[in-house]
Amino acid sequence: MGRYIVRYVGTGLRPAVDVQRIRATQELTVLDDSSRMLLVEASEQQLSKVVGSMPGWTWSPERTIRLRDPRPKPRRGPQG
Amino acid sequence: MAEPGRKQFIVLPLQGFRVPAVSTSAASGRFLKALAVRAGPARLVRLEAAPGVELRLLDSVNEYGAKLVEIAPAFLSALRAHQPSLRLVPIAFYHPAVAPRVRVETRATAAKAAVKIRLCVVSRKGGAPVAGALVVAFTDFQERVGAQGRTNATGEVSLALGSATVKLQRLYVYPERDFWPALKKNLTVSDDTRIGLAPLSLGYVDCLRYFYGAASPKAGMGIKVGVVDTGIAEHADLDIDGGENTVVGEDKAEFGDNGLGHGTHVAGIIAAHGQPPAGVRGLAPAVTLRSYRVFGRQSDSASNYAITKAIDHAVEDGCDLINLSLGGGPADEAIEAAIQYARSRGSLVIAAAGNEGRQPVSFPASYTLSLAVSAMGRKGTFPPGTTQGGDVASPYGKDRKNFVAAFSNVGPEIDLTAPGVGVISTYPGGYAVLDGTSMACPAATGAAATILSAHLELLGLPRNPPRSEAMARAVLGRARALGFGSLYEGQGLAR
Repeated sequence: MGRYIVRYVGTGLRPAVDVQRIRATQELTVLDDSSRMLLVEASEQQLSKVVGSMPGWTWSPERTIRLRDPRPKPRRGPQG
Repeated sequence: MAEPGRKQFIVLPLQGFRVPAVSTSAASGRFLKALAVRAGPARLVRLEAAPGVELRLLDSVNEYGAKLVEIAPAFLSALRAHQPSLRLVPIAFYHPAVAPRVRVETRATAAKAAVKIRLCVVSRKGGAPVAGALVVAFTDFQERVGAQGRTNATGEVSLALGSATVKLQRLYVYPERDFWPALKKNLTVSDDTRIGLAPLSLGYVDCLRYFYGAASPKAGMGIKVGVVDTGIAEHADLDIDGGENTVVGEDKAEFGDNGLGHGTHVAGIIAAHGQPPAGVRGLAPAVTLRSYRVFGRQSDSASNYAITKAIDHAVEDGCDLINLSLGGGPADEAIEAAIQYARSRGSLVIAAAGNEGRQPVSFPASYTLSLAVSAMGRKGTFPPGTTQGGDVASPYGKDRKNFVAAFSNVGPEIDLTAPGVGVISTYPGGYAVLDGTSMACPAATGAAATILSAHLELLGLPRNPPRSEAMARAVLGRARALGFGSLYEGQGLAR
Protein backbone atom coordinates (compact mmCIF):
# COMPACT_ATOMS: atom_id res chain seq x y z
CA MET A 1 0.00 0.00 0.00
CA GLY A 2 1.15 3.53 -0.72
CA ARG A 3 -0.18 7.07 -1.00
CA TYR A 4 -0.75 8.39 -4.50
CA ILE A 5 -1.80 11.64 -6.10
CA VAL A 6 -4.56 10.93 -8.60
CA ARG A 7 -4.87 13.97 -10.83
CA TYR A 8 -7.22 14.95 -13.63
CA VAL A 9 -5.16 16.42 -16.47
CA GLY A 10 -7.94 16.52 -19.05
CA THR A 11 -9.63 19.73 -20.12
CA GLY A 12 -12.44 21.30 -18.12
CA LEU A 13 -13.71 20.09 -14.76
CA ARG A 14 -12.86 16.60 -13.57
CA PRO A 15 -15.69 14.16 -14.41
CA ALA A 16 -17.81 13.62 -11.28
CA VAL A 17 -18.60 10.07 -12.36
CA ASP A 18 -14.88 9.20 -12.25
CA VAL A 19 -14.52 10.62 -8.76
CA GLN A 20 -17.55 8.62 -7.65
CA ARG A 21 -16.02 5.47 -9.07
CA ILE A 22 -12.72 6.07 -7.22
CA ARG A 23 -14.59 6.75 -3.98
CA ALA A 24 -16.77 3.66 -4.43
CA THR A 25 -13.83 1.30 -4.89
CA GLN A 26 -13.29 -0.47 -1.59
CA GLU A 27 -9.58 -1.05 -2.12
CA LEU A 28 -8.93 2.70 -2.57
CA THR A 29 -9.09 5.04 0.42
CA VAL A 30 -9.48 8.72 -0.39
CA LEU A 31 -7.47 10.72 2.17
CA ASP A 32 -8.00 14.18 0.70
CA ASP A 33 -9.90 15.79 -2.13
CA SER A 34 -8.87 18.88 -4.07
CA SER A 35 -10.19 20.65 -7.14
CA ARG A 36 -8.24 18.63 -9.70
CA MET A 37 -6.99 15.66 -7.72
CA LEU A 38 -7.37 13.21 -4.90
CA LEU A 39 -4.88 11.82 -2.39
CA VAL A 40 -5.50 8.10 -2.35
CA GLU A 41 -4.13 5.20 -0.30
CA ALA A 42 -4.00 2.06 -2.37
CA SER A 43 -1.81 -0.58 -3.92
CA GLU A 44 -0.34 0.44 -7.27
CA GLN A 45 -2.01 -2.60 -8.82
CA GLN A 46 -5.48 -1.53 -7.68
CA LEU A 47 -4.85 2.03 -8.71
CA SER A 48 -3.73 0.95 -12.14
CA LYS A 49 -6.86 -1.19 -12.52
CA VAL A 50 -9.28 1.59 -11.58
CA VAL A 51 -7.61 4.84 -12.65
CA GLY A 52 -5.77 3.35 -15.59
CA SER A 53 -9.07 2.87 -17.37
CA MET A 54 -10.19 6.49 -16.91
CA PRO A 55 -9.14 8.85 -19.71
CA GLY A 56 -7.53 12.11 -18.61
CA TRP A 57 -6.37 10.85 -15.19
CA THR A 58 -2.78 10.22 -14.05
CA TRP A 59 -1.31 9.10 -10.76
CA SER A 60 2.06 9.45 -9.11
CA PRO A 61 3.41 8.58 -5.66
CA GLU A 62 3.25 11.09 -2.83
CA ARG A 63 6.71 12.20 -1.71
CA THR A 64 8.24 15.03 0.27
CA ILE A 65 10.46 18.00 -0.52
CA ARG A 66 12.59 19.62 2.19
CA LEU A 67 13.49 23.26 2.70
CA ARG A 68 16.98 23.83 1.33
CA ASP A 69 19.25 25.30 3.98
CA PRO A 70 22.51 26.75 2.58
CA ARG A 71 24.20 26.80 6.00
CA PRO A 72 27.19 24.44 6.40
CA LYS A 73 26.73 21.52 8.78
CA PRO A 74 29.23 19.19 10.45
CA ARG A 75 29.23 15.66 9.02
CA ARG A 76 30.93 14.16 12.04
CA GLY A 77 32.39 15.17 15.37
CA PRO A 78 36.08 15.44 16.27
CA GLN A 79 37.56 12.12 17.42
CA GLY A 80 39.57 13.47 20.32
CA MET B 1 24.21 11.29 -29.79
CA ALA B 2 24.39 15.09 -29.76
CA GLU B 3 27.35 16.95 -31.25
CA PRO B 4 29.98 18.04 -28.68
CA GLY B 5 28.80 21.06 -26.72
CA ARG B 6 25.16 20.54 -27.67
CA LYS B 7 22.33 18.61 -26.07
CA GLN B 8 19.15 17.21 -27.54
CA PHE B 9 15.75 18.44 -26.41
CA ILE B 10 12.16 17.79 -27.42
CA VAL B 11 10.32 21.07 -28.04
CA LEU B 12 6.68 20.67 -27.04
CA PRO B 13 3.60 22.90 -26.84
CA LEU B 14 2.41 24.03 -23.38
CA GLN B 15 0.12 21.00 -23.15
CA GLY B 16 0.09 17.73 -25.02
CA PHE B 17 2.17 17.00 -28.09
CA ARG B 18 0.55 19.25 -30.67
CA VAL B 19 -0.61 22.88 -30.69
CA PRO B 20 -4.44 22.91 -30.72
CA ALA B 21 -6.03 24.19 -33.94
CA VAL B 22 -7.20 27.41 -32.21
CA SER B 23 -3.63 28.31 -31.25
CA THR B 24 -1.74 27.67 -34.46
CA SER B 25 -1.50 31.40 -35.13
CA ALA B 26 0.01 32.09 -31.67
CA ALA B 27 3.76 32.71 -31.46
CA SER B 28 4.45 29.17 -30.24
CA GLY B 29 2.39 27.66 -33.07
CA ARG B 30 4.12 29.79 -35.69
CA PHE B 31 7.50 28.86 -34.26
CA LEU B 32 6.79 25.12 -34.33
CA LYS B 33 5.49 25.37 -37.88
CA ALA B 34 8.62 27.25 -38.93
CA LEU B 35 10.68 24.33 -37.64
CA ALA B 36 9.72 22.23 -40.65
CA VAL B 37 11.95 19.24 -41.29
CA ARG B 38 13.28 18.97 -44.81
CA ALA B 39 15.02 16.09 -46.52
CA GLY B 40 18.81 16.08 -46.20
CA PRO B 41 21.12 16.97 -43.34
CA ALA B 42 19.83 18.39 -40.06
CA ARG B 43 18.74 22.01 -40.52
CA LEU B 44 20.41 24.87 -38.63
CA VAL B 45 17.86 27.42 -37.35
CA ARG B 46 18.87 30.87 -36.10
CA LEU B 47 16.63 32.93 -33.79
CA GLU B 48 16.16 36.35 -35.32
CA ALA B 49 15.35 37.99 -31.99
CA ALA B 50 18.46 36.53 -30.33
CA PRO B 51 21.58 37.05 -32.46
CA GLY B 52 24.09 34.24 -32.20
CA VAL B 53 21.59 31.71 -30.88
CA GLU B 54 21.12 28.71 -33.13
CA LEU B 55 19.67 25.26 -32.89
CA ARG B 56 19.82 22.20 -35.09
CA LEU B 57 16.49 20.69 -36.09
CA LEU B 58 16.72 16.89 -36.10
CA ASP B 59 13.18 15.55 -36.34
CA SER B 60 9.51 16.51 -36.17
CA VAL B 61 6.39 14.64 -35.09
CA ASN B 62 4.16 16.84 -37.28
CA GLU B 63 3.72 20.43 -38.47
CA TYR B 64 2.41 21.87 -35.19
CA GLY B 65 3.76 19.07 -33.03
CA ALA B 66 6.86 18.07 -31.11
CA LYS B 67 10.29 18.76 -32.60
CA LEU B 68 13.60 17.17 -31.75
CA VAL B 69 16.34 19.80 -31.64
CA GLU B 70 19.98 20.04 -30.66
CA ILE B 71 21.16 23.18 -28.89
CA ALA B 72 24.08 24.38 -26.78
CA PRO B 73 22.98 24.59 -23.09
CA ALA B 74 24.18 28.21 -22.99
CA PHE B 75 21.46 29.09 -25.57
CA LEU B 76 18.57 27.47 -23.69
CA SER B 77 17.75 30.53 -21.64
CA ALA B 78 17.54 32.66 -24.81
CA LEU B 79 15.31 30.09 -26.50
CA ARG B 80 12.98 30.00 -23.49
CA ALA B 81 12.88 33.81 -23.44
CA HIS B 82 12.08 33.76 -27.18
CA GLN B 83 9.34 31.11 -26.81
CA PRO B 84 8.16 31.08 -23.18
CA SER B 85 5.06 28.98 -23.97
CA LEU B 86 6.98 25.99 -25.25
CA ARG B 87 8.31 23.19 -23.09
CA LEU B 88 11.91 22.03 -23.53
CA VAL B 89 12.29 18.45 -22.32
CA PRO B 90 15.81 16.95 -22.26
CA ILE B 91 15.95 13.75 -24.26
CA ALA B 92 16.33 10.74 -21.97
CA PHE B 93 17.97 7.39 -22.61
CA TYR B 94 16.96 4.42 -20.50
CA HIS B 95 19.36 1.63 -19.59
CA PRO B 96 19.00 -1.85 -18.12
CA ALA B 97 18.67 -1.68 -14.35
CA VAL B 98 22.02 -3.24 -13.42
CA ALA B 99 22.34 -3.97 -9.72
CA PRO B 100 24.92 -1.75 -7.98
CA ARG B 101 28.24 -3.37 -7.12
CA VAL B 102 29.22 -3.94 -3.52
CA ARG B 103 31.96 -1.58 -2.29
CA VAL B 104 34.15 -1.46 0.78
CA GLU B 105 33.10 1.13 3.36
CA THR B 106 35.67 2.94 5.53
CA ARG B 107 35.75 1.33 8.93
CA ALA B 108 34.74 3.60 11.73
CA THR B 109 37.15 4.09 14.63
CA ALA B 110 35.82 4.39 18.15
CA ALA B 111 35.56 8.05 19.12
CA LYS B 112 37.14 9.19 22.38
CA ALA B 113 34.84 10.61 25.00
CA ALA B 114 33.91 14.11 23.87
CA VAL B 115 35.02 17.06 25.97
CA LYS B 116 32.61 19.99 25.76
CA ILE B 117 33.41 23.67 25.46
CA ARG B 118 30.91 26.31 26.56
CA LEU B 119 30.68 29.33 24.26
CA CYS B 120 28.69 32.47 24.94
CA VAL B 121 26.93 34.51 22.23
CA VAL B 122 26.20 38.15 23.09
CA SER B 123 25.14 41.39 21.44
CA ARG B 124 28.08 43.51 20.38
CA LYS B 125 26.09 46.48 21.63
CA GLY B 126 25.56 46.20 25.40
CA GLY B 127 26.59 42.53 25.78
CA ALA B 128 23.09 41.10 26.26
CA PRO B 129 22.92 37.30 25.72
CA VAL B 130 21.55 36.10 22.37
CA ALA B 131 19.26 33.10 22.85
CA GLY B 132 18.31 30.58 20.16
CA ALA B 133 21.37 31.19 17.95
CA LEU B 134 22.67 28.21 15.95
CA VAL B 135 26.42 27.84 16.56
CA VAL B 136 28.34 25.68 14.07
CA ALA B 137 32.03 25.02 14.82
CA PHE B 138 34.44 23.30 12.42
CA THR B 139 37.85 21.95 13.42
CA ASP B 140 38.30 20.79 9.80
CA PHE B 141 36.05 22.70 7.42
CA GLN B 142 37.02 20.79 4.27
CA GLU B 143 36.04 17.48 5.88
CA ARG B 144 33.17 19.11 7.75
CA VAL B 145 34.43 17.88 11.14
CA GLY B 146 32.88 19.76 14.02
CA ALA B 147 29.88 20.21 16.26
CA GLN B 148 26.80 22.41 16.46
CA GLY B 149 24.18 23.50 18.96
CA ARG B 150 21.77 26.31 19.92
CA THR B 151 22.31 28.90 22.61
CA ASN B 152 20.10 28.80 25.70
CA ALA B 153 18.36 31.72 27.42
CA THR B 154 21.71 32.96 28.80
CA GLY B 155 23.32 32.84 25.34
CA GLU B 156 25.39 29.73 26.16
CA VAL B 157 25.97 26.62 24.06
CA SER B 158 28.10 23.55 24.90
CA LEU B 159 29.84 21.89 21.95
CA ALA B 160 31.60 18.51 21.98
CA LEU B 161 34.85 19.58 20.33
CA GLY B 162 37.18 16.95 21.81
CA SER B 163 39.39 19.02 24.15
CA ALA B 164 39.30 21.99 26.54
CA THR B 165 40.98 24.39 24.09
CA VAL B 166 40.45 24.01 20.37
CA LYS B 167 41.54 25.88 17.28
CA LEU B 168 38.55 26.21 15.00
CA GLN B 169 39.05 26.66 11.28
CA ARG B 170 35.61 28.24 11.08
CA LEU B 171 32.91 29.24 13.53
CA TYR B 172 29.48 30.20 12.18
CA VAL B 173 26.87 31.81 14.43
CA TYR B 174 23.33 32.16 13.04
CA PRO B 175 21.02 34.18 15.30
CA GLU B 176 17.33 33.51 14.84
CA ARG B 177 16.62 37.19 14.23
CA ASP B 178 17.54 40.82 14.94
CA PHE B 179 21.35 40.34 14.47
CA TRP B 180 23.73 39.72 11.60
CA PRO B 181 25.16 36.20 11.57
CA ALA B 182 28.91 35.95 12.29
CA LEU B 183 31.77 34.00 10.72
CA LYS B 184 35.11 33.71 12.54
CA LYS B 185 38.10 31.99 10.95
CA ASN B 186 41.09 30.42 12.73
CA LEU B 187 39.74 31.13 16.19
CA THR B 188 41.01 29.39 19.34
CA VAL B 189 38.16 28.78 21.79
CA SER B 190 37.90 27.53 25.35
CA ASP B 191 35.20 27.70 28.06
CA ASP B 192 33.35 31.03 28.16
CA THR B 193 34.79 32.39 24.89
CA ARG B 194 32.40 35.21 23.97
CA ILE B 195 31.19 35.77 20.42
CA GLY B 196 29.71 39.22 19.71
CA LEU B 197 26.98 39.72 17.12
CA ALA B 198 26.21 43.00 15.34
CA PRO B 199 22.60 44.14 15.86
CA LEU B 200 20.53 44.56 12.72
CA SER B 201 19.83 48.05 11.50
CA LEU B 202 16.77 48.18 9.24
CA GLY B 203 18.16 51.15 7.35
CA TYR B 204 21.19 49.14 6.22
CA VAL B 205 21.63 48.94 2.43
CA ASP B 206 21.73 45.17 1.89
CA CYS B 207 21.99 43.61 -1.59
CA LEU B 208 18.23 43.87 -2.13
CA ARG B 209 18.15 47.60 -1.41
CA TYR B 210 21.38 48.14 -3.33
CA PHE B 211 19.94 46.75 -6.56
CA TYR B 212 16.33 47.88 -6.24
CA GLY B 213 16.43 50.95 -3.99
CA ALA B 214 13.35 51.98 -2.03
CA ALA B 215 10.17 50.73 -3.73
CA SER B 216 7.28 53.08 -4.32
CA PRO B 217 4.33 52.30 -2.00
CA LYS B 218 2.31 51.61 -5.17
CA ALA B 219 4.76 49.12 -6.71
CA GLY B 220 3.02 45.87 -7.61
CA MET B 221 -0.50 47.31 -7.40
CA GLY B 222 -3.08 45.12 -9.13
CA ILE B 223 -0.91 41.98 -8.93
CA LYS B 224 -1.89 39.02 -6.79
CA VAL B 225 1.01 36.91 -5.51
CA GLY B 226 0.78 33.46 -3.92
CA VAL B 227 3.62 32.41 -1.61
CA VAL B 228 3.74 28.62 -1.39
CA ASP B 229 5.89 28.08 1.69
CA THR B 230 5.95 27.60 5.48
CA GLY B 231 3.11 30.10 5.97
CA ILE B 232 3.31 33.83 6.70
CA ALA B 233 3.25 35.21 10.26
CA GLU B 234 1.24 38.26 11.21
CA HIS B 235 3.67 41.17 11.08
CA ALA B 236 3.39 44.96 11.25
CA ASP B 237 5.01 45.24 7.80
CA LEU B 238 2.80 42.65 6.06
CA ASP B 239 -0.83 42.58 4.95
CA ILE B 240 -2.04 39.07 4.14
CA ASP B 241 -5.12 38.94 1.95
CA GLY B 242 -5.85 35.29 2.74
CA GLY B 243 -4.64 31.83 1.91
CA GLU B 244 -4.87 28.20 2.82
CA ASN B 245 -3.01 25.48 4.67
CA THR B 246 -2.90 22.53 2.26
CA VAL B 247 -1.13 20.09 4.63
CA VAL B 248 -3.30 16.98 4.88
CA GLY B 249 -4.67 16.59 8.40
CA GLU B 250 -4.15 20.22 9.46
CA ASP B 251 -6.68 23.06 9.68
CA LYS B 252 -6.89 24.73 6.26
CA ALA B 253 -7.38 28.11 7.93
CA GLU B 254 -3.93 27.92 9.61
CA PHE B 255 -1.87 29.53 6.92
CA GLY B 256 0.28 31.55 9.32
CA ASP B 257 3.91 30.72 10.16
CA ASN B 258 4.53 27.03 10.91
CA GLY B 259 7.32 27.85 13.37
CA LEU B 260 10.22 28.12 10.92
CA GLY B 261 9.85 31.73 9.72
CA HIS B 262 11.00 30.99 6.17
CA GLY B 263 7.74 31.99 4.45
CA THR B 264 7.51 35.21 6.47
CA HIS B 265 10.98 36.23 5.26
CA VAL B 266 10.09 35.32 1.66
CA ALA B 267 6.84 37.31 1.88
CA GLY B 268 8.61 40.40 3.20
CA ILE B 269 11.04 40.45 0.29
CA ILE B 270 8.04 40.66 -2.05
CA ALA B 271 5.49 42.66 -0.14
CA ALA B 272 6.67 44.26 3.12
CA HIS B 273 5.36 47.82 3.36
CA GLY B 274 7.36 49.15 6.31
CA GLN B 275 9.46 52.28 6.32
CA PRO B 276 13.12 52.02 7.40
CA PRO B 277 14.51 52.41 10.00
CA ALA B 278 11.33 51.35 11.83
CA GLY B 279 10.48 48.57 9.37
CA VAL B 280 11.45 47.09 6.02
CA ARG B 281 10.02 47.45 2.54
CA GLY B 282 9.87 44.74 -0.12
CA LEU B 283 10.06 45.19 -3.85
CA ALA B 284 6.31 45.36 -4.46
CA PRO B 285 4.53 46.56 -1.29
CA ALA B 286 1.19 47.08 -3.05
CA VAL B 287 0.68 43.49 -4.24
CA THR B 288 -2.18 41.42 -2.90
CA LEU B 289 -0.35 38.79 -0.86
CA ARG B 290 -1.68 35.28 -0.26
CA SER B 291 -0.16 32.56 1.90
CA TYR B 292 -0.32 28.86 0.97
CA ARG B 293 1.24 26.80 3.73
CA VAL B 294 2.58 23.46 2.51
CA PHE B 295 4.95 22.62 5.38
CA GLY B 296 3.41 21.03 8.48
CA ARG B 297 3.79 22.52 11.96
CA GLN B 298 7.50 22.83 12.85
CA SER B 299 8.31 20.70 9.78
CA ASP B 300 10.88 21.44 7.08
CA SER B 301 9.42 18.96 4.63
CA ALA B 302 6.38 19.32 2.39
CA SER B 303 4.57 16.70 0.34
CA ASN B 304 4.20 17.03 -3.40
CA TYR B 305 0.44 16.71 -2.80
CA ALA B 306 0.33 19.79 -0.54
CA ILE B 307 2.46 21.76 -3.03
CA THR B 308 0.35 20.70 -6.00
CA LYS B 309 -2.86 21.57 -4.18
CA ALA B 310 -1.42 24.95 -3.17
CA ILE B 311 -0.48 25.79 -6.75
CA ASP B 312 -3.92 24.73 -8.02
CA HIS B 313 -5.70 26.83 -5.41
CA ALA B 314 -3.42 29.83 -5.92
CA VAL B 315 -4.35 29.68 -9.62
CA GLU B 316 -8.04 29.35 -8.80
CA ASP B 317 -7.76 32.27 -6.35
CA GLY B 318 -6.48 34.44 -9.20
CA CYS B 319 -2.79 34.67 -8.29
CA ASP B 320 -0.82 36.13 -11.18
CA LEU B 321 2.52 35.07 -9.75
CA ILE B 322 3.26 32.01 -7.62
CA ASN B 323 6.50 31.94 -5.62
CA LEU B 324 8.12 28.54 -4.91
CA SER B 325 11.15 28.99 -2.65
CA LEU B 326 11.48 25.23 -2.28
CA GLY B 327 12.64 22.25 -4.24
CA GLY B 328 14.78 19.17 -4.51
CA GLY B 329 14.58 15.53 -5.47
CA PRO B 330 13.58 14.06 -8.80
CA ALA B 331 11.12 15.68 -11.19
CA ASP B 332 7.56 15.12 -10.05
CA GLU B 333 4.69 14.53 -12.42
CA ALA B 334 2.04 16.02 -10.12
CA ILE B 335 3.90 19.29 -9.52
CA GLU B 336 4.70 19.55 -13.23
CA ALA B 337 1.00 19.11 -14.01
CA ALA B 338 0.13 21.88 -11.54
CA ILE B 339 2.70 24.27 -13.04
CA GLN B 340 1.36 23.43 -16.49
CA TYR B 341 -2.17 24.11 -15.21
CA ALA B 342 -0.98 27.48 -13.84
CA ARG B 343 0.47 28.45 -17.21
CA SER B 344 -2.69 27.31 -18.97
CA ARG B 345 -4.69 29.64 -16.68
CA GLY B 346 -2.49 32.69 -17.23
CA SER B 347 -0.33 32.46 -14.08
CA LEU B 348 3.45 32.40 -13.81
CA VAL B 349 5.41 30.16 -11.43
CA ILE B 350 8.82 31.40 -10.21
CA ALA B 351 11.06 28.87 -8.44
CA ALA B 352 14.36 28.81 -6.49
CA ALA B 353 17.27 27.06 -8.21
CA GLY B 354 18.46 25.34 -5.01
CA ASN B 355 21.37 25.74 -2.57
CA GLU B 356 23.63 22.77 -3.20
CA GLY B 357 26.59 24.82 -4.44
CA ARG B 358 26.99 24.76 -8.23
CA GLN B 359 24.92 21.60 -8.56
CA PRO B 360 22.30 21.25 -11.31
CA VAL B 361 19.16 23.33 -10.90
CA SER B 362 16.78 21.46 -8.59
CA PHE B 363 13.17 20.57 -9.32
CA PRO B 364 10.69 22.30 -9.78
CA ALA B 365 12.90 25.21 -10.90
CA SER B 366 14.37 22.83 -13.48
CA TYR B 367 10.93 22.30 -15.02
CA THR B 368 10.83 24.18 -18.27
CA LEU B 369 7.53 25.99 -17.53
CA SER B 370 8.73 27.57 -14.28
CA LEU B 371 11.12 30.52 -14.19
CA ALA B 372 14.30 29.38 -12.39
CA VAL B 373 16.18 31.91 -10.24
CA SER B 374 19.82 31.71 -9.13
CA ALA B 375 21.21 33.77 -6.23
CA MET B 376 23.79 36.52 -6.53
CA GLY B 377 25.35 38.93 -4.07
CA ARG B 378 27.47 42.05 -3.93
CA LYS B 379 30.53 42.76 -1.84
CA GLY B 380 30.00 45.68 0.50
CA THR B 381 26.29 44.94 1.08
CA PHE B 382 26.96 42.97 4.27
CA PRO B 383 29.17 43.92 7.23
CA PRO B 384 32.69 42.48 7.54
CA GLY B 385 32.94 39.33 9.68
CA THR B 386 29.49 38.05 8.75
CA THR B 387 28.73 34.60 7.28
CA GLN B 388 27.90 36.26 3.94
CA GLY B 389 31.66 36.64 3.35
CA GLY B 390 31.76 32.85 2.98
CA ASP B 391 29.27 33.01 0.09
CA VAL B 392 31.53 35.08 -2.18
CA ALA B 393 32.68 33.01 -5.19
CA SER B 394 33.38 33.33 -8.88
CA PRO B 395 32.06 34.07 -11.42
CA TYR B 396 32.16 37.79 -10.83
CA GLY B 397 30.20 40.18 -12.99
CA LYS B 398 31.22 43.05 -15.25
CA ASP B 399 31.16 44.99 -11.99
CA ARG B 400 33.67 42.88 -10.03
CA LYS B 401 31.85 43.47 -6.75
CA ASN B 402 28.94 41.33 -7.99
CA PHE B 403 29.19 37.54 -7.66
CA VAL B 404 27.05 34.41 -7.99
CA ALA B 405 26.53 33.04 -4.46
CA ALA B 406 28.74 30.02 -3.69
CA PHE B 407 25.68 28.04 -2.58
CA SER B 408 23.60 28.71 -5.69
CA ASN B 409 22.79 25.92 -8.12
CA VAL B 410 23.35 26.83 -11.75
CA GLY B 411 22.82 25.44 -15.22
CA PRO B 412 21.05 25.90 -18.52
CA GLU B 413 17.62 25.96 -16.83
CA ILE B 414 18.36 29.29 -15.08
CA ASP B 415 16.11 32.07 -16.38
CA LEU B 416 16.96 34.92 -13.99
CA THR B 417 19.26 35.85 -11.15
CA ALA B 418 18.42 37.99 -8.13
CA PRO B 419 19.97 39.09 -4.81
CA GLY B 420 20.06 36.26 -2.26
CA VAL B 421 23.06 36.94 -0.01
CA GLY B 422 22.46 38.77 3.27
CA VAL B 423 18.84 39.78 2.69
CA ILE B 424 17.06 41.65 5.50
CA SER B 425 13.36 40.92 5.71
CA THR B 426 10.40 40.31 7.98
CA TYR B 427 10.51 37.41 10.45
CA PRO B 428 8.11 36.22 13.16
CA GLY B 429 8.59 38.66 16.03
CA GLY B 430 11.00 40.96 14.21
CA TYR B 431 13.46 40.93 11.31
CA ALA B 432 16.16 38.55 10.14
CA VAL B 433 19.00 38.20 7.66
CA LEU B 434 18.82 35.06 5.51
CA ASP B 435 20.64 33.78 2.46
CA GLY B 436 19.62 31.41 -0.29
CA THR B 437 17.99 31.01 -3.64
CA SER B 438 14.89 31.00 -1.41
CA MET B 439 15.51 34.75 -0.99
CA ALA B 440 16.53 35.38 -4.61
CA CYS B 441 13.29 33.79 -5.82
CA PRO B 442 10.96 36.29 -4.08
CA ALA B 443 13.24 39.12 -5.18
CA ALA B 444 12.56 38.01 -8.77
CA THR B 445 8.86 37.62 -7.97
CA GLY B 446 8.73 41.13 -6.49
CA ALA B 447 10.55 42.55 -9.51
CA ALA B 448 8.14 40.69 -11.80
CA ALA B 449 5.15 42.10 -9.90
CA THR B 450 6.51 45.62 -10.32
CA ILE B 451 7.01 45.11 -14.06
CA LEU B 452 3.57 43.56 -14.57
CA SER B 453 1.74 46.23 -12.59
CA ALA B 454 2.94 48.67 -15.25
CA HIS B 455 1.40 46.47 -17.98
CA LEU B 456 -2.31 46.76 -17.37
CA GLU B 457 -2.97 45.52 -20.90
CA LEU B 458 -1.39 42.17 -19.95
CA LEU B 459 -3.37 41.83 -16.77
CA GLY B 460 -6.57 42.48 -18.68
CA LEU B 461 -5.99 39.50 -20.96
CA PRO B 462 -8.17 36.42 -20.51
CA ARG B 463 -6.53 33.94 -18.13
CA ASN B 464 -5.09 31.58 -20.70
CA PRO B 465 -1.68 30.54 -22.07
CA PRO B 466 -1.12 33.71 -24.16
CA ARG B 467 -1.46 35.75 -20.94
CA SER B 468 1.20 33.76 -19.07
CA GLU B 469 3.38 33.80 -22.17
CA ALA B 470 3.10 37.58 -22.45
CA MET B 471 3.89 37.92 -18.73
CA ALA B 472 7.00 35.71 -19.08
CA ARG B 473 8.13 37.73 -22.09
CA ALA B 474 7.70 41.01 -20.19
CA VAL B 475 9.65 39.75 -17.17
CA LEU B 476 12.46 38.07 -19.12
CA GLY B 477 12.67 40.96 -21.55
CA ARG B 478 13.39 43.44 -18.74
CA ALA B 479 16.23 41.39 -17.22
CA ARG B 480 19.70 42.92 -17.36
CA ALA B 481 22.78 40.74 -17.90
CA LEU B 482 25.41 41.30 -15.20
CA GLY B 483 28.17 39.45 -17.03
CA PHE B 484 28.06 36.11 -15.17
CA GLY B 485 27.14 34.11 -18.29
CA SER B 486 23.78 32.55 -19.09
CA LEU B 487 24.40 29.31 -17.17
CA TYR B 488 24.64 31.42 -14.01
CA GLU B 489 22.16 34.22 -14.64
CA GLY B 490 19.89 33.19 -17.52
CA GLN B 491 18.67 36.47 -19.02
CA GLY B 492 20.17 38.41 -16.12
CA LEU B 493 19.07 40.34 -13.05
CA ALA B 494 15.30 40.41 -12.61
CA ARG B 495 14.29 44.08 -12.46
